[in-house]
Amino acid sequence: MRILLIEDDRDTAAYLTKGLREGGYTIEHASEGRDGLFLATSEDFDLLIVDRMLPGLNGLAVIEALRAQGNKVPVLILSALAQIDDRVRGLRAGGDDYMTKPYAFSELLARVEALLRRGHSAAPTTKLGFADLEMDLLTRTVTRAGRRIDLQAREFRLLEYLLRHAGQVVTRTMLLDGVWDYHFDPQTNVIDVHISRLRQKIDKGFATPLLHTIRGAGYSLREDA
Amino acid sequence: MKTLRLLQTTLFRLSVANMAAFAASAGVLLLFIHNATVAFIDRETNATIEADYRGLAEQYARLGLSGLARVITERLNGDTQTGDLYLLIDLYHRPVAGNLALWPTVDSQADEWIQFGVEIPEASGPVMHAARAKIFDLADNHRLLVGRDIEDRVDFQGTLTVFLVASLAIFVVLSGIGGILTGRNILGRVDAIARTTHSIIRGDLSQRLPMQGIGDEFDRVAESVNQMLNQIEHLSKGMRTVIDSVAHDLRGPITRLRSHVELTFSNPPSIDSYRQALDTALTETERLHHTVNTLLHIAQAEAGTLAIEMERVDLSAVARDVADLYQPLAEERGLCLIMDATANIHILGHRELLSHAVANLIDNAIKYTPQGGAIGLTVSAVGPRATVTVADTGPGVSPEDRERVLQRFVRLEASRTTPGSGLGLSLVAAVAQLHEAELRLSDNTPGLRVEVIFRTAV
Repeated sequence: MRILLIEDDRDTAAYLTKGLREGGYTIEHASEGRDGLFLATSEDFDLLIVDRMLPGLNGLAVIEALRAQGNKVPVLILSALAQIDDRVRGLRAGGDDYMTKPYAFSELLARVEALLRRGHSAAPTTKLGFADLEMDLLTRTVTRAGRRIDLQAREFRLLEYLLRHAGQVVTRTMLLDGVWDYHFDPQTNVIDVHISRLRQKIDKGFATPLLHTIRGAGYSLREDA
Repeated sequence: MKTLRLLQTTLFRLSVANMAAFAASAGVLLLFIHNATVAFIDRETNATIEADYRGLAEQYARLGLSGLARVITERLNGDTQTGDLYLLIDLYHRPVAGNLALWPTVDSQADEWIQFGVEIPEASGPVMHAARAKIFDLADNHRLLVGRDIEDRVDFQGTLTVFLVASLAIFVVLSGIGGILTGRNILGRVDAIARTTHSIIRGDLSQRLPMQGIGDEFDRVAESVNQMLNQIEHLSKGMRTVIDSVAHDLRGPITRLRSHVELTFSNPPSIDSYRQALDTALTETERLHHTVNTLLHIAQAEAGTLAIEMERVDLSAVARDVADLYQPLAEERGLCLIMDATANIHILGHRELLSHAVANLIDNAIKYTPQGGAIGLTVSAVGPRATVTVADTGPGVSPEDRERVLQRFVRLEASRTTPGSGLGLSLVAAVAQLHEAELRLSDNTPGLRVEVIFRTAV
């Protein structure tokens, strides 16, 4: 998987490059908007990580230029601007996900994985599944090992999100964002309680737990412990 | 210096130009009046002279030369102050009749108008007067001069000229003074504005442009500039508070983080202690991160930046979603979260910020209400007012503390042991302010009742 990182801050770039390489990705780095746009148009990448504030050509302009050329590569925007509606502007410009600095690296890694995965399963699905857990999006039913599990509407969406990102780490902010459409951190960790309720329903009474808490990062649907 | 600046003012230059244009047109008008008056008087004089001649010519035709001479003498004897001038001379220029001693020396042809000076005897001695006359040739080589003393007309013309020139001069002087006075006045007001602006530039944002309260264009400009300054002052105050707050709230965790790392270094190295130190560091940075984000959220909501896009928001839906998010947590804490929202109450707002504010209120309520208590989340509308109420059965807030808890980082002594940044309610206050909503804290007997009262959208 090749990732193009367009970031002008050398420390951030070095840190991200190192972290992502350790995560098994190939990283190209451009420290300027124009260079970045040139690289992105001349070579194939699976993902772009673009800083909003760049010398030469700003991040949003780079994305807009790429989208204008019909380039559909997934883009993750990094921004130090914490304007409330900034995220909306970033996504409108053609970004696929948006993160404000400072961010946890685990969060970034999780979002990168999610974006790369999304790029591969573009076709709309009616059924989701992981291990012996199955979800039918049309009848809105969930079964595990053939046994029906009753979920409330919100629990259903939570599990749907987890299933769509099965095997990956999903952070609290990703869940707040994807399931509740909230982009703020509640003072108390409310997500934990939702997860433990869901865990009660899908894991209780089964030999292998599927829904795991990844310490310091988030949650993941996994078969191994 | 002052005079020089006065001369440079736009108004002064405008009034000078205006004055010049007006003076020119007034000059043209006055000249016209002058000429028309003079021409009229001349015509009148000429007509009188010609009528006079026609009378004499009739007498001449009827009575002959001697008759004419007699008529002239009779006329002159009748009264002497009419200003009529006659002279009848023979072939040898000898006067036959008339009141002129000598034939005028100016070159003269028959049927021509001539102007000449004539000596008039007065009490103080002979005086030269201007005269106007016409020469007529009579049949028997005699010539007749019929004229009038026009000294009065010349006097009048002189007076008229003096009067016209004087009024023009008075006009120029008066409008010049007017220009200077208005220029001074305007300059004074501009100076006042400039002085205020300079002190604002030097950093005193509390200054406001002076207003005369007469609603003229200066007042209107001053009013909008003052409104702008209010907003700028508000923003910069907000900014300063944010910086203070950030310094205040970040210093604690950073100090803790640092001392923890230093302590770990000073201890004998061990994987376990390093692990534990890193774990603590991660927790602290997460808290720092959260605080920074919340502060920025509050700052933006407080500043009411133009970047925030307001839209029609269903307040009931916002409350329902937040209740849905917090329901499991409330249940886990042994609390009863009761949701009562009338459907479809719309306001103009920002969904994200409104959700954050309601979430903070519920979060606080959950935090401070002891097990077994109840939390009510209500959305109701009465007339143009939409109210979100969060009521709990916790310890409540004493009336004297109610104002204070809305400020940043204020955590009442009683709550020191509960985790929290002390930013929850200040975000609510900021969001309320941004939506021009009223935030009301009251006693829920027992507990705290927080009401946020919005204006409904049409």
